[in-house]
Amino acid sequence: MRARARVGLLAAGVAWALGPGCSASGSGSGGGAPVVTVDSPDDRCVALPGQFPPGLALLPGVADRAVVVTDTPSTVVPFALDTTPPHVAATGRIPTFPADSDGDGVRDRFGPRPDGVEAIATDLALVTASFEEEVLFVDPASGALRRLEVAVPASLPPERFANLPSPGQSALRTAVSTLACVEPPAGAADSRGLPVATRFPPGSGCLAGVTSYRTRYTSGVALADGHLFVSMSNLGDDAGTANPQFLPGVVLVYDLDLTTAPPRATPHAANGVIFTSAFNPTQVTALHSAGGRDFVLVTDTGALGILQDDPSTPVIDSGGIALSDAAIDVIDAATLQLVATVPLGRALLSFDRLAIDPTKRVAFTGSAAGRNLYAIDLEPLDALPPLAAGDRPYRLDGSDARVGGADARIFDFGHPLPLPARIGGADPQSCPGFTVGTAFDAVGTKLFATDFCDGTLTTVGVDLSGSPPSPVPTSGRFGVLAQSNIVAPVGAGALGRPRGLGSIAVRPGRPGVDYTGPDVFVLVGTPEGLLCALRVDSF
Amino acid sequence: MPLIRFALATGALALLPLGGGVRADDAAPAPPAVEREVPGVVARGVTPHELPDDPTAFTTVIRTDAYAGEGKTAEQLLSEAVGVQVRRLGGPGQPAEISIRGSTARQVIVLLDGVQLNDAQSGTVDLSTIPADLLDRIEISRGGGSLQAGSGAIGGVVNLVTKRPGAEPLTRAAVEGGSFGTFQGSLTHSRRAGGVELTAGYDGFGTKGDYEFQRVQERVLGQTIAFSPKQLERINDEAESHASLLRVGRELGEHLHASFQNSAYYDSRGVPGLDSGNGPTGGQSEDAHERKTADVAAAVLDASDVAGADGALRVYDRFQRIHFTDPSSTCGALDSENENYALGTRGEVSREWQLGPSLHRLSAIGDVHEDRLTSTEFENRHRLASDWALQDELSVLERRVILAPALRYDLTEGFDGEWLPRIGAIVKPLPWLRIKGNAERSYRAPSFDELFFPDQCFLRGNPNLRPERARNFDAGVEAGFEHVFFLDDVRLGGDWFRQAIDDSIVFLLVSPNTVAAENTGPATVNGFELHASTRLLGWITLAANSTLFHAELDATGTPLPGRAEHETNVRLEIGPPSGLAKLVGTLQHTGDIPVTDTGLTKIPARTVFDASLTVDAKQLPWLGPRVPAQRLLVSLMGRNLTDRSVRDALFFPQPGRTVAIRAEAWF
Repeated sequence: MRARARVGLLAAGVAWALGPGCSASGSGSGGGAPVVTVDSPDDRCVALPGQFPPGLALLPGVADRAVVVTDTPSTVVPFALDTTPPHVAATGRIPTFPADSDGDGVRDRFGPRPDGVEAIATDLALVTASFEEEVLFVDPASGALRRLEVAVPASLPPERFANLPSPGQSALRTAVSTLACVEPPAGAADSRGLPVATRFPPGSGCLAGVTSYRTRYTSGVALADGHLFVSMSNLGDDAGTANPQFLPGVVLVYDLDLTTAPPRATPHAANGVIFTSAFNPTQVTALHSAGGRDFVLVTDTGALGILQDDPSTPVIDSGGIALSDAAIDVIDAATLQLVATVPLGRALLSFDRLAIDPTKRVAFTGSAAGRNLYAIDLEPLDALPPLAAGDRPYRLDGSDARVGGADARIFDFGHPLPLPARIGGADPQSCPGFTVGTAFDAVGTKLFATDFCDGTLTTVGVDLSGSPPSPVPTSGRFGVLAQSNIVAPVGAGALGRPRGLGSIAVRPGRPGVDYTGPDVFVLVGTPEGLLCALRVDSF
Repeated sequence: MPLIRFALATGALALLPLGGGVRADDAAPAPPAVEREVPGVVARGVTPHELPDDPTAFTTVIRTDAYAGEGKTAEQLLSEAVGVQVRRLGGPGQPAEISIRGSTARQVIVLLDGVQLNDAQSGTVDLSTIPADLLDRIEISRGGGSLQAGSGAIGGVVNLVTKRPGAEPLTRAAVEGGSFGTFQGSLTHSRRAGGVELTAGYDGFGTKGDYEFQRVQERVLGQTIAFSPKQLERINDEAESHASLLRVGRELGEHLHASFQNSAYYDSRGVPGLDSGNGPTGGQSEDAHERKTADVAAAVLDASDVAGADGALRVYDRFQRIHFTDPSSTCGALDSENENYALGTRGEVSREWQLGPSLHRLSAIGDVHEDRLTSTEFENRHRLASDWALQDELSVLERRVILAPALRYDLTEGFDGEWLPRIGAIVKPLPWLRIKGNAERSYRAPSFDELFFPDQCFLRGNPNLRPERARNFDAGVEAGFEHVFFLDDVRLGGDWFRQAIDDSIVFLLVSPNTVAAENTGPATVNGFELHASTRLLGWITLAANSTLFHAELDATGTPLPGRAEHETNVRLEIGPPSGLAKLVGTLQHTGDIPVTDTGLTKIPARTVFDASLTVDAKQLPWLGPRVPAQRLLVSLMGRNLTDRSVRDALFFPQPGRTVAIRAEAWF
């Protein structure tokens, strides 16, 4: 028995000693990387890295160039739009975001998760990224990150931006941090109605002695009047549930000087933090108004939950649910004040940029919870009087006597512009419609809208002729002209086919006149992420 | 969504004369690892969940002793079997699931000594938690198996048979250490004494699992795009497991035998998740963790030749508790505990009659069991299921022609009853040639997850799901030769199979923020299995198999994702018949794996080489006399020798090359 025990011990010792000892030098790391091939299932489309590409943007001043930002892996892909399908415009290898995405010499803690892209110049695109919370600077010709000078005013408290140079310092960076420590207005409440001070009592936040929290979920970016505006959704606890918490939304303001070499981005010293009037600001859209004023329109979708299935019914419910009212806030880019808000009710606005007609008269957006369009009249903005410091923003729903009861609402939750459902489309109980992207044609007579659920592209006729009164009357001015099935509707029947229609862009110019080839471009989410070129004769 | 892997079969089976009364059988080649069953090998009580003498199914039996010293896990053994693919979601200790003939993991029933391991909640079995050292053999039945196992067996049935005592007492001890801080050890003892049979065993496993891996690169847009960083270390990949086996049996007179057995399991592991993100960890979870305890128990009373009939009565239960925590989930902190409990009883009886020129073996089975789910995240659920089956095995012409018509009625609470007819046939026109075929209906009732997963964090079940229903067909031909020129024990075979599945259940996107289970319409799998084995010069055994199939969604013709439509296995074993030493090399080629339902995103094909060298120190002249054991096997094993990047699922990396040393003593 003892001999057997010795054998056992000897064997164990051999395995113990030789196993890990020898194996450490013999084990491998998997050699070459597995190269996964990704192809497009549709001749009109080009496959992208990863699924659900989060953003598409046209380059300003260039007729046939765009950039698409992808997530897994994270890239910015330059495209030429003159062919079907679109083709890559970059000549070199498309880079992915490096492990130190902001170029500060410190590896990222979480890594950026791209949320969208906006091209503000032919040589500068901006990618908003959550988790790492930053806006990345990208060369839209190559997709590579580029360095800008990021400076911090000496007057800012050092706690404001933990990931930026110290106040009074500057550095070359490939991104500007949006992880800001902000102090909400006194008495501010979260989307559940609980005082923010309860969740973040003074002393527990990032600023000493006051209620404060760090901004999260970098969502949209826009350039207006030399300032960069970045919306921060500030989703708090219990994401992905029926009742998540949203902290008061914020638009961060940076000064952006494109005339220097390199360009210089600086958090605005005085008015760098603007709190929104409603929860979940997901997008900012620059507006150079017909009257020559610069505004930024902030899409506040309202707090958003996931509709829970009611197990007591045989119907499967799903989709988004609005937990609070939506609004479009108006920031005066000159004064950096939130000067007005257009309440839209429980509209649960789409997360994409607003579509603004070429005359700058109306702005449209979709809905994350239905097959609806919402719109506001931009004409009243030019008539807004200056807002005194401390005054609440003008309310453009006909109730604010300070602006003569101006009402900018054209289509709101109570009176939407409904879009038709696809015959044989998505199950209305599971996917009742998600009008993702909206875009105008070159002359402003057609509005295009994509529906995630049905995979359709709907064309809406827009008649702004003859200086219509404000707000633009809905009767006779707007109507659905056509609807095309672009990809399959989501749901059980779509397996094996592209689905999940997303953002849209319309190529500048008049098709058949200014250019030949495709005129409308859409993103498709799954199973492969796609950029598709369509010819719908948008003009 | 499993892949399919096809296997290499080696086995003494190849030595069996085909004309000599082979009944339960199959088409798997290759000595000595895989053997074919002959009457009596499927011993009374060993496979009580099967209809007795179901002679027509395409089956493979893997005897673990044939792999002694090679240190193969149960999932590795399965992955080398013909018609089987194993989909691993990480390295050792991380989940692995099975696919047979292009099925999903939920469409394969896994039994432990006849007790179903698939729980009603997930419908799947994690193969990584099953220790091979406690197994005597693995029986794989390919193709529709609902007659045998009821709901779920659309792709096939796997029966894991634990160790049994032989004629002499036997104690085995094994220890193994290898790459990435991986250790495994086992101790088993079995004996017969005073009419009592005893088997007891323990198996322990642990790994740090901190291997480096190459991240996926995408070939898209005419160039190759890489994640940053390109290489990472698998984090939060520690795993630990313990398993025990106790089996006691006793003869009760001439005709009765009673046994009780219990298998207990404990597993604790990190859940590193996907490597699909950015940042220093690539999106891997740093602190998600799963802890599982499970117990399977059965009491069996076997009867033989009572009034001319054989029978068995079994009472069994299965318990499983899984505690999962993820403090930093994107859906907020998760902390859930799910308990699955099953209790059932099963009776079976069979009797032979000679009616004129035909010999009939009539078998009847009845089974009633209840599944219960107690959960912190679900509403508690339970359902009762019962089934009744009748089969006649009719043989004529000295068993050269066998017909086996059968009918089963299954009733699962919440669903309509299912009539499951089956017919199988074997024709042996020549002693060395066998032709067989089967046609069968099979079905699968949706799991609790598919039906009732709570509406949270973008995922939910669907209580309106219909069962998956399938029509299974297969046919095969097999030939065996004692000698073909210089080759001995030549065995050749080819099988065709088709599975037409209605109402496949898939989790898919149904809204911008919801993934739900849905019936997605019909899908079809058509394929072939080819297998061959031989020996030469007495020292060399060569076996190979290859499986090709096309699994597609009928509506679009697009491939079903997660399955490689081609896999080939080759095994070369060199060593003297005495067992002094054994050098084994294996090759597994896996074709492209489509990962999306269009089939246009594909993990590339790969070929992986493994090798092992085992020496029985007891047979070394200078050492053997001093070794106080029957056998002392010392092995050096290398896996994935060429250090290929291996992934069965897009964002679940597996280790590159690993090496291990193993010592195994038999007393």
